[in-house]
Amino acid sequence: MNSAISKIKSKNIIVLRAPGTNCDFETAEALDIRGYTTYKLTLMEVVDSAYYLNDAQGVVLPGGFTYGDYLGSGVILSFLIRFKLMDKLIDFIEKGGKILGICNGFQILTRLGLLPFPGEEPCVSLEPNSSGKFECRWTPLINNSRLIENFSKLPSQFYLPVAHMEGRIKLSHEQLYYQLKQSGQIAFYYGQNQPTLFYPDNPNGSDHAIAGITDPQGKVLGMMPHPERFIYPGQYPRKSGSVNFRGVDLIDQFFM
Amino acid sequence: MKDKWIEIAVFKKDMHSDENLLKTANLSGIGKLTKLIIGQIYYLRGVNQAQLKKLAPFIFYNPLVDDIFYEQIPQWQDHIIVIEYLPGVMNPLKVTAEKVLNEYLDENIEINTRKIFLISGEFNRDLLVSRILSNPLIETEVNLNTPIVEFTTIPPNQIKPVPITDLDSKELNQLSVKMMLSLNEQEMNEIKRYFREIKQEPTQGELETIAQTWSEHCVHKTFKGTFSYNAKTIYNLLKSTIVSATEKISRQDCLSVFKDNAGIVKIDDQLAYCVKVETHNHPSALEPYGGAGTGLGGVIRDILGTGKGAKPVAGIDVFCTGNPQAAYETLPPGVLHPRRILTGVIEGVRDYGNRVGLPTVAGALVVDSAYTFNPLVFAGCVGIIPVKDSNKQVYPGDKIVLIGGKTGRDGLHGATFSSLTLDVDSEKTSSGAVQIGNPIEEKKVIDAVIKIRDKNLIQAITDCGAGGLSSAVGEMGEKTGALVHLESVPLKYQAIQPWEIWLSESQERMVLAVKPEHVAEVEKICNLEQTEAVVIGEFTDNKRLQVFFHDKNIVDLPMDFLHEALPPKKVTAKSREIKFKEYSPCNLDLETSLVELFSCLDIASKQWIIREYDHQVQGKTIQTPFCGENQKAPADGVSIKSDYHCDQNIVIGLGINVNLGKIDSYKMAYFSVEEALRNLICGGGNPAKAVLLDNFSWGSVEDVYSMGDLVQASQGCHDAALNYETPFISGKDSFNNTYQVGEELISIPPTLLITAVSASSKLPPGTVFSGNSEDIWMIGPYQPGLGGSYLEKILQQGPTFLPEIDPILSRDIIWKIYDNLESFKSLHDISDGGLLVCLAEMLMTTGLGAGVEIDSQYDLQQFLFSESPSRFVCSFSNNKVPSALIDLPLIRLGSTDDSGLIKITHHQKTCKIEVSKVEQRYFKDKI
Repeated sequence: MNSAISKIKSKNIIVLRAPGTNCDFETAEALDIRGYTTYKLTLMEVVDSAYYLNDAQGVVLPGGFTYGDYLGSGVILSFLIRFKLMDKLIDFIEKGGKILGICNGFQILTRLGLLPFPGEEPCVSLEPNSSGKFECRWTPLINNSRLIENFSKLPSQFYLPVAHMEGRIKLSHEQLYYQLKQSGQIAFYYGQNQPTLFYPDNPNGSDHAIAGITDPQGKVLGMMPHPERFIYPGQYPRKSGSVNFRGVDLIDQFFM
Repeated sequence: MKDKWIEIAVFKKDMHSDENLLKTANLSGIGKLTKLIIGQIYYLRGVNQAQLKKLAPFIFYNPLVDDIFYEQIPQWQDHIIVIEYLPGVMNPLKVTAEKVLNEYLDENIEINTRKIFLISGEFNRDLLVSRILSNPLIETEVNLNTPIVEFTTIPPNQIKPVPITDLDSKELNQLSVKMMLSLNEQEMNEIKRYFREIKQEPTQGELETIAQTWSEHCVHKTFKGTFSYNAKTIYNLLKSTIVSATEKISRQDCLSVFKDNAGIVKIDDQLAYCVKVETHNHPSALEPYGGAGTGLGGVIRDILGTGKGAKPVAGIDVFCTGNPQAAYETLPPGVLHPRRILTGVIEGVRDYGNRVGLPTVAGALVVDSAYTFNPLVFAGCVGIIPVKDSNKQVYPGDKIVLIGGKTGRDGLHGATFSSLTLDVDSEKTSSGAVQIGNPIEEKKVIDAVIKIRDKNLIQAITDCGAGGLSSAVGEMGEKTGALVHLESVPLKYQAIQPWEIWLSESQERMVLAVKPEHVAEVEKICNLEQTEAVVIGEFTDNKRLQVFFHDKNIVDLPMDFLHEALPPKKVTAKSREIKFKEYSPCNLDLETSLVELFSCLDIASKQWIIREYDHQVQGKTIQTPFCGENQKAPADGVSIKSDYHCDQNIVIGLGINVNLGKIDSYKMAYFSVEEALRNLICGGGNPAKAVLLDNFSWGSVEDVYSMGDLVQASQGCHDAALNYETPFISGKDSFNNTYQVGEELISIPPTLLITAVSASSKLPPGTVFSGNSEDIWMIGPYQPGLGGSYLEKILQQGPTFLPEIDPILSRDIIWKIYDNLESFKSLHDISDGGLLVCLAEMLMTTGLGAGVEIDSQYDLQQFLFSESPSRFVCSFSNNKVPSALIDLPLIRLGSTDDSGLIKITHHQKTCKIEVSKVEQRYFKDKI
């Protein structure tokens, strides 16, 4: 057994699955080893049994290609959530629940408008990478989060893997950037020391090098990089210099 | 108004060209395009326009970035090309969107799709459509306003006998060709004999079932045949070489070898892994995207159908193609351009592997004009299975449960087609054998099957691969008997004959044997995972295969005839004579040679391919395909954790050597095993626990020399397996990779892919130097011989003499390196391109340089470019050579510095190579 397993926390997290979700196991594993109780549930199960959401403190929308992304990334699942679960999710956030969307989950949160301003019309979209290609690589990130208090415990810079074809953040208008920046909603930038617009450190050509954003309360977080793919020290590719950080820390600190 | 089709077109607001497709089109020599904008047209029925306008922004377009056009398209003065799928071809978008909309809105909505291209420029329109924008096998161009073709005509169910009992041998042969049975005269006569005996004529279903069961694909009849080789007779080549080696080694941790879908090997008392590598050559030659995708999909299902179901955890992909830079005019008709093939197979693996959530961690690329006519696609998969679930058994009374996608006319004759020679007409005659996969269906099936397995509801399971239900049910029920009712099989459409249902190779389907009392629970789990489970029959105890469509008998055959009556095949084989040339050193410029070697796609960085594959999904990847701080240097072996809570990693190393295959098949096989093991230990793998897989892609079975190569390669595999004590656990062969051009039959060179796998808890040291003043060592014997090297290939010389291998020393080196892996600071094996390529790869991406002195006793050219086996370049922690290694051949080459140059001194002369210059070429996009 892994010695890194922490003591049990009294927090329930739902990992929301759909056909084509493919990061549900590692996401659940990342939570389990930090002592959270996780439930891998389909949308149907969450819709049909209200007690799951009532008893949960957090929801993760994991990575994958929900419904094949055949109508655009995350489109079908966001369509279903919009018509089946949206009110309950808004309610959930208002009652203090937290939502984390990773990769496809982030795409869904923006399409639903839960990011950057829950309840409002969508104003951020995740577009095809400017390389026109799928990009799987470790990328440097700058921790810029001010709204998630616990993230001050994370290093100011770290590396996480990305793997996506539609991860380029596009803001509906330039003004939005200053608004998000001002309110501290930009959680992560791509770059070493400085946010960068240049490939490959900015793997997809995101506007203003944005890699992740939160809602104004810091309760909803969406990010393209995959913290759940960095669970063990052996996974870290930069062998020189010791690093205490692991991707699971980020998930742990968010739901803490 | 709900019964009319409503048309909507969606375009990106910015109307940008698709740059990748534009580039592909312009590089193809079909003209000069200046704009190429892609849009999507949807046709919907079952909703009215008001409803649709309400729904559309949430599902059909994103108002932030897209424009939508109702019953029209944007203004466009130039060319407009519209493409749609042929009727009956899998359209994953349609299937997925219809299902979701209908279930959640409780409406009966139908969707159809077309792609629309707005184009400017001067070009050959026909070629653009048929070569770039569509594949005529599965798609067709339509006019913008053509109505959607309905696919509803129901033909009568024809079940009529095919008279064969009165045919002579020649007529039998003709029948075999006409029906695409791929059976020879001897086999047809055996079938005739059986039906004469029972005084009946076979039904088409019966003939097809026999042809599938007796196909090369299903029973390896050539490999198991009786070989007359030179003056010797070899009974069952496979058994007497590869299988025999495994039996002699007799490793206790190998739980299942050569019998199930994949070999199974124990990791510890609870867990085991299984591995399988498949070939999917013929379909990929005709439809690269669909072929590679369904190839990967197929091997994933092989793993899912191993034991009582293994979870797929890692993918392997190896491609051999022609030169992507070849001029269009040099290609004969009927052959797709190698660029099209290569980009197609990469996208196929990307879209299938990434979507299904399988990390594609290992791979290789071989580019050689010999593969222009017959590209090769190897797709592999590793699975994890509880030891207790590694055996399966069917009992009479078990229900036959079909899980997954619906059945259509897809892929008929896949098993028999895979052993036919391709020719100019292949595109037309074999179109049924080409398919498009739906990875999301596969993901649902995987999730469902693993849940069902973990509740102990599976007695036995196998995949629907080549031969479809006929092979799956036929194999599972071999020892019992099986009764199937085809009317229970869920269909995509009604326009399908019963025998076609039985033989269809529609993707994403699994067959389970389930106890009657567990069926309801299985259905419940599948329902939750949004896939379908249907009982289509049951296993019996009468040892017959009986298939009905309602009350009509489609097939009724005894299992023992089906599985045992195939007469052993007679194969004639001869060894070939190769004329070697005299070796004479020429005065090479080292930097130029290195730059040229790095221009070979095989040797250059594969990151342009690898980064398109998600190699980290599932969160268990330890050693990615990259090494070094910048994650750009090539890794030799890769590894993934076997399970989240287990410290054992599954390590994979590959070996393939086509240049050698053209000269000496025995050495190719032996050296490939050794190379796979070298890569394995560089990735942290334990040679003492290693197992091997063989994949033979070969030329014509009628060609005596090609068969001679097969005998030699098999013996090479046997001898190498024994030497390293690494058993083969599974394999695959693909014959007749030939192409008919007029009178000439063109064969591929003998191509053998060796995959080495092992469980291990060691982490690899990495393949790059990390700092200044690291002593650079070469471990392994210097062996002269440039025969079969990449240097000879780029110089278009040779073959000169081949290097030798010292089996005992080679084994010793591999074992000792693994035992002392912790002492290494860097470790990289010397393979394609030789020592200089290896050294450059260890320096590139680090900014370092190196001073290297080569003893004057060695010939410089051979020393730097020979690809002789058993060698590694390495450095040690604290520059300290572990005492356990000092008995091995060790040469101190020099040390690293910060010069950014490789300085090679030989006979007091120093030659300088600028690392950044070769690095540029190494990483340059090649296609």
